[in-house]
Amino acid sequence: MYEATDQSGAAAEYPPASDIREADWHILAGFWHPVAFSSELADGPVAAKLLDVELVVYRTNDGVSVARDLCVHRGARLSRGWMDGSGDCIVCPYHGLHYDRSGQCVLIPANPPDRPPPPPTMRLVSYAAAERYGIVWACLKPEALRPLPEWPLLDDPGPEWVVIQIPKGRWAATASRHCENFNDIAHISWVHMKTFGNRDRPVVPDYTLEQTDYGLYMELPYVEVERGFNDDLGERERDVRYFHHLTYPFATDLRVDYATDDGDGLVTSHFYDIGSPVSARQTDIYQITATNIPGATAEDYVAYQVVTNSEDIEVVESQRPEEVPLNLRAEVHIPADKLSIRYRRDLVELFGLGSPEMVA
Amino acid sequence: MAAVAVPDLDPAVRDLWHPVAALDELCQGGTVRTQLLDRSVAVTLDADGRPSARLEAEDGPAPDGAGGGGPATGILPTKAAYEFAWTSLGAPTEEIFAIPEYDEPDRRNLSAGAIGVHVSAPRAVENFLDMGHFPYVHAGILGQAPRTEVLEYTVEVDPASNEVFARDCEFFQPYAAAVASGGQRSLYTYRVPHPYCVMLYKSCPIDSSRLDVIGLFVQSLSTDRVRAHTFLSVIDDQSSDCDLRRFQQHIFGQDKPILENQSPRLLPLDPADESSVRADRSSVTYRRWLSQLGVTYGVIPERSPDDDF
Repeated sequence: MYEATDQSGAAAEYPPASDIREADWHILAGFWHPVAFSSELADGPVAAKLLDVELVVYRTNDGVSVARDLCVHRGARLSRGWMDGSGDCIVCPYHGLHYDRSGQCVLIPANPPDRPPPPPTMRLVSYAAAERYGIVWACLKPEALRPLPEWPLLDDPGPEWVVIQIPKGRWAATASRHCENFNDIAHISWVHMKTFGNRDRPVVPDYTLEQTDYGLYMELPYVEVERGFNDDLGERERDVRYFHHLTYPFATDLRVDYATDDGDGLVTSHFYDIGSPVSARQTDIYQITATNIPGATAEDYVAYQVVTNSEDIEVVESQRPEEVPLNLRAEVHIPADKLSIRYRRDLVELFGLGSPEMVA
Repeated sequence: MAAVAVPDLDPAVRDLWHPVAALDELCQGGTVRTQLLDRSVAVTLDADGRPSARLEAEDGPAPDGAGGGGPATGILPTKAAYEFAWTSLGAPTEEIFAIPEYDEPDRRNLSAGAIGVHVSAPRAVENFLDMGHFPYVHAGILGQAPRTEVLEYTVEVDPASNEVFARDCEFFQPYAAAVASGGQRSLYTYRVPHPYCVMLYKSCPIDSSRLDVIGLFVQSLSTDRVRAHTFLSVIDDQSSDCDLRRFQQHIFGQDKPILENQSPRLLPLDPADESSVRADRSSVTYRRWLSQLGVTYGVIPERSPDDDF
């Protein structure tokens, strides 16, 4: 499905100006994170930032590449460059140096044609790159701690599924706060009153929560209010069942099964959500919706997700401290927070995030 | 005129003359407030048309003898030269470098505009010295693919003047100057007479026996911000001042986004920091020359062997 590019040049270095704690940075750098939607690369290379590292993302004929956004010759930004006519190389906008998919410099146009090719040392700092689900992923360490999320439906959706890419958003919030919120149930009846929330049903029942090889699995029922996003049949309650698959650290597949009005049928939507940590307190949100609800259109679902996000952004960007406190005593928990408590514990126990004195 | 010693300045640039304003941006009695090496400087033109610069008291460290607070406090040495007002924050021991062409009677001498750039002065100078970027940054004007090769040229630090010269530089240019009417093989000589000033002598499109002179006089506002002043001394009786300036501004406008996206903004002097290619011999020589002059402002100095543990 994906193939790592050459890693010989990868220097997984902590960026000096980062506000992310260095120990945490080295852990987070070991995961795959999204750096672009594949569709963004159609017109040439794009700039991205991951964990305070400035990146260029580009597509050659052989696949996608991610490297530091820096020409090793005179420090120009490669994301301002372009792909050469053959599609094999990214071209620096300053002196036209050509770099191939692996990051090796293969052409120095100012040199006479009879000069030997550029030395192997003349190469970009390239990182592991992968493309899946219409997203380009990067890992800043040579070996990823965990594989990419496994979302088979997106690999091969049948004809009954409509798959919709939601416009990327940048939140002034940490990826962990975003991820907790996406997997939080108790806020729905309070925050999502323009979309699917039901103020009359605030009680969160005890729910299934399991640790899995990829992260956490949660399952529980809710009674949503349909406000015209799935159909135009009027505002009314609708029984749903939520299935959360949280792939550590920041990726979630939220499956929602909706009972049809006759009570016999079932239709399903998946809301895929990945937070990509841009810097200490900035997160890019990548979302894909897949639904088999008859008549669903991309336009409706994008609108639905944009409004839903706007409800969440307001709250999540206001949370203090900005980092999820990994010390469980730092915030008060209620029974509905079972997932969030497990999430915080796992970030510490499985990956070592948070300094030792922060651990409960 | 009392020399003013300002503490904590790189001595290698403190005692140099620096451009602070084009004379034609000063009006008599008016004051231009600007910045030089992190200090606030005010430049005025007196009744006789002579510029005078002084340190502004509100910013930066107080100059020596500032206790009196009189109007003369902070007066800096000032000169008018080559269409610009020049000043120094130290005690300049040398004259401003010579541009003999300036005195030739049929020359058009003019300041051709200043552009603010968020980059260090040495990065701006190095870009001006560079031919390899012509077909990419100035495509269709100063260069054009596929003619991308930079032919061999000679570089030296002239022992008599201690200035960097790059000679016998040759590049095909589709549209070399405001007055150009077609492509030409331009012959260039580059000269770096000052850590932050660079001159280009190029074959004149309308009199092949003579050389047009283009100067880039870079005013370091801070370590990574400059005002780049362009200076022209050309043989051209056809173009208006406006045409000449427009051409220079257009070229520099193409360089600005490249310069502002360079990382790091300061020029790395250590040969290990950026990979140089054959065409960069002038850049490599310029970097080494800055090291030898002991310039530390606007650069990342060369690491001594002791820095490697």
